[in-house]
Amino acid sequence: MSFFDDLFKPKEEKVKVPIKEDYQKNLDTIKEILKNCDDVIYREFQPMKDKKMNFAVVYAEGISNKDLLQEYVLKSLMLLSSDLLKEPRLMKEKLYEEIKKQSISVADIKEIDDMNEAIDSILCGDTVLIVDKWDKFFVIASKGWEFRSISEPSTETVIRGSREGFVETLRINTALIRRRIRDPKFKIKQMQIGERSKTDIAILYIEGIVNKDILKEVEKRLYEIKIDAILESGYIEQLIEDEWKSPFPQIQNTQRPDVVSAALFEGRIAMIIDNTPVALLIPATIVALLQSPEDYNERFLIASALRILRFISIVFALFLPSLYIAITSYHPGMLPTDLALYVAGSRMNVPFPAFIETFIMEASLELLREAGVRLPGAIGSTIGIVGGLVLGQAAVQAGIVSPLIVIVVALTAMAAYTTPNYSFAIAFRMLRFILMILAGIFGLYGIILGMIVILIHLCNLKSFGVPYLSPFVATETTWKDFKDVFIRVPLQFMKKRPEFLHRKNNDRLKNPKSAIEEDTEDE
Amino acid sequence: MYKKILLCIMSILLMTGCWDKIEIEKRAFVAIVGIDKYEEDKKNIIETEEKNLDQIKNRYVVTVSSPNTGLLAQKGEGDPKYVYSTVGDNLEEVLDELETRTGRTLNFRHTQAIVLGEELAKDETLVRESLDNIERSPGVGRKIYLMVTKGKAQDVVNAKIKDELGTGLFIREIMRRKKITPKIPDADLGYVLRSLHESRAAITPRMIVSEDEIKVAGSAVFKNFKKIGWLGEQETEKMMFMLNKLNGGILNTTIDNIRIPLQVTDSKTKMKVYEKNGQIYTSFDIKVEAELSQHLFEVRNQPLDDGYLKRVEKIASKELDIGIETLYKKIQKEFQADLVQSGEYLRKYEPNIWKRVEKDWNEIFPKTQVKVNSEIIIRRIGDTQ
Repeated sequence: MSFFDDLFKPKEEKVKVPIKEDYQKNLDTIKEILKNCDDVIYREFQPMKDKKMNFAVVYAEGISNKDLLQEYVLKSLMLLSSDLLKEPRLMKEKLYEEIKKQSISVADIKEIDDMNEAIDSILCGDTVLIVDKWDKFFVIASKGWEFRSISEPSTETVIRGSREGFVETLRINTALIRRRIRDPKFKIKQMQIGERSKTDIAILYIEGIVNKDILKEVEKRLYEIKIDAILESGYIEQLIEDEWKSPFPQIQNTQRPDVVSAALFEGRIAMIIDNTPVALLIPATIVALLQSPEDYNERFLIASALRILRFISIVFALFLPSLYIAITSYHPGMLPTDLALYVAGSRMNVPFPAFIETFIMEASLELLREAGVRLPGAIGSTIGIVGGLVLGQAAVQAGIVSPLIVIVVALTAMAAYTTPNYSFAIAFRMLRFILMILAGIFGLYGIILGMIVILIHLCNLKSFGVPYLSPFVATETTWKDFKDVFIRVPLQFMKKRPEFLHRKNNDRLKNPKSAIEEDTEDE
Repeated sequence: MYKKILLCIMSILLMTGCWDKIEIEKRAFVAIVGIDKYEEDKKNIIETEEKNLDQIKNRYVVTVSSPNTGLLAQKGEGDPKYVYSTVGDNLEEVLDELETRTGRTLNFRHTQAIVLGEELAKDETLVRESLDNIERSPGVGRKIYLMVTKGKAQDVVNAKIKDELGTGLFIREIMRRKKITPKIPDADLGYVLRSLHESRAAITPRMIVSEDEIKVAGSAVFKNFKKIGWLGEQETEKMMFMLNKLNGGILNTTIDNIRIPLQVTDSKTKMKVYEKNGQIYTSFDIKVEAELSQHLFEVRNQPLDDGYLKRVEKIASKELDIGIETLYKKIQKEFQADLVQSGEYLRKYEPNIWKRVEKDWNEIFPKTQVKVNSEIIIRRIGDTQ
């Protein structure tokens, strides 16, 4: 476990490098640190006619807004100098005040006295303004770069619901959520993780609803991460999850701001990581992973029916191929007579035993899926037709597989696709193969054994202290959450937030005034 | 840890089990089994000692048929069913022999009927052997039918039925009709075995076979593990009344020279055995709901008249009473077989009486008195003008 010990070593405090008064020295230090970083631009200028005062702006090209620099920093500094020349007396004393208060018309500007911080700011896209004979820098917020426009996420499409999906820029993502939660108690806590990547990470929660113990645990685990780079939210997910050996994801991920907002209103915690459109939701339960945002947008009868369908479909996705193996190889007596005879007839002259046959077909389906993901959209669908229709048809006609297995595999694939969460669905894809092997060796007995092992594991599994199977492993109060498991009761009856988080304030639907009062009591 | 996991994986490889892993197409689904007594054909006995030994051992002739599944899945050709027949000393040996001949594993999970030939059914030893073998084998379900045929069971299995894939499935369809007519007794293997265990008597469906047709009607009476007689179709119907197994059927009555068939829609029988003045009585309380399904054309208003219907009910129930009483007496006198399981009733509900009569029940049963009290209610009279 030395790898993890290294990873979670407490962080060393950053050493502060003070800024000197000497303009040239400061500039040289920056240039030394950012040597060979050719995207960093140094613009030196002497606006005063006597050229006594040296100014310099340092910024990284591509991630800072050049127009803003030109219009509101450089231009106004030049104008300022001409004003100041008229009153040389003011120059010495009030230069910095003037610059800050009058000259630079940029929304966000701050002073710093640490060289490391200055470097970080430059690399974030901010602009550092170096002024002669002053031991501080101005940092002008000039972040600005090209980003993908907000579009519908391709993995979590809904028929009725918002079409917005997250983009790769953290700030836009938090804005998408802020637009949905106009509550002062909605908090966005930001931190940076990654020694070198210095990736921004925002922890989102609603104070008063969130369970503070879970929040503390999340912050603690995040703080313990010591890694060079975070490229995607998957890195964070894998580093802070409870059980890294489990095939099941213990943290939900989503690309939809409405899903994140709904989770926040339930009292869960969201995490948005810069440079990825995938947000994390903590804690996750098996029920949450099987929900679709549409469950709440549609009316309750239809929503409940779809829920039940989804539960049935995970059973199908998990067990269908192994049941086929077990029944055809071990227990043909379980089938109705006519079906048993038909199955026996359709498998006549098939050269492979049922286990090999199923394995070949399931494996080719996985190949098809993987190929479809890698290829661009248009070719991807061609692969689907070639693989699914042509290959399946040809295999049956050639007599290599029985027609029944094609139906079984197709049904399994369809059932697997109904799972709204991709990470959760791939866990089932893997377990399906294990169950198939067990069915091949032990028949139905093996399937039951495998199911028991999976259930034991699921019962043990926890996501940030919350049982993964809740509310199936109900305690005194969590049984109430069954109102939102197989069926979704009408919204009128969902007066309480889900119980599994064990928070204090549970009321959703009531007099708004008293809700606010209770929030304050909670703090 | 890794060593432990490795050990687990290795042990799976070492397990040479999977004894029942047989691919579905490698199984022969036996639809129907016919068991006959082996009858020595005197001409064929060859006088050498070795062959003679071989001949003596044969006691059974077993015929099985399994449907041609390929034909069912539109994948093969040929006859709709395969029939194999072989002889041997005991059933297990015969079945092994059959497996070597079919090249497939016989599976009895989808068997519909086991047919006993009349000669075999009369032989107590052979019936007991067969029943024990059937009861012991886990592959045989209890919902199938044990039948006795007049003649040879082999002929039943061999019969070429029109429009049907294999005889076995055809029998299943026939037996489903037991809901309509009580002439087919509702007596599955589970009932037969239990009744034989408890009362040493039972009835099984009787099968009659002709060239290209099979008929299940009436029943065979077993006592002390051998067939001792037949019950006709009408008698079987009354028997079903007594056993509370009636699901339908028609009661015929005549009133004022008009034949009126009453279609039974529901029937419940309560049997009671009790002692009164040192005499054991068996009483049947029967409640029948029926539908008047035929009267006479252009007899207006009569079937609508409540008093008239009451009269029909009364007469019909009286006829039913007499029919059942007659059958009960026939069972007593002719077979002396406790088919209604009145002894079992005493053992379960009247242990005090049973203790006294247990030893001599075989003598006491023929002397018991029967009381039948049936009540027929006509619920519907069909469409009338």
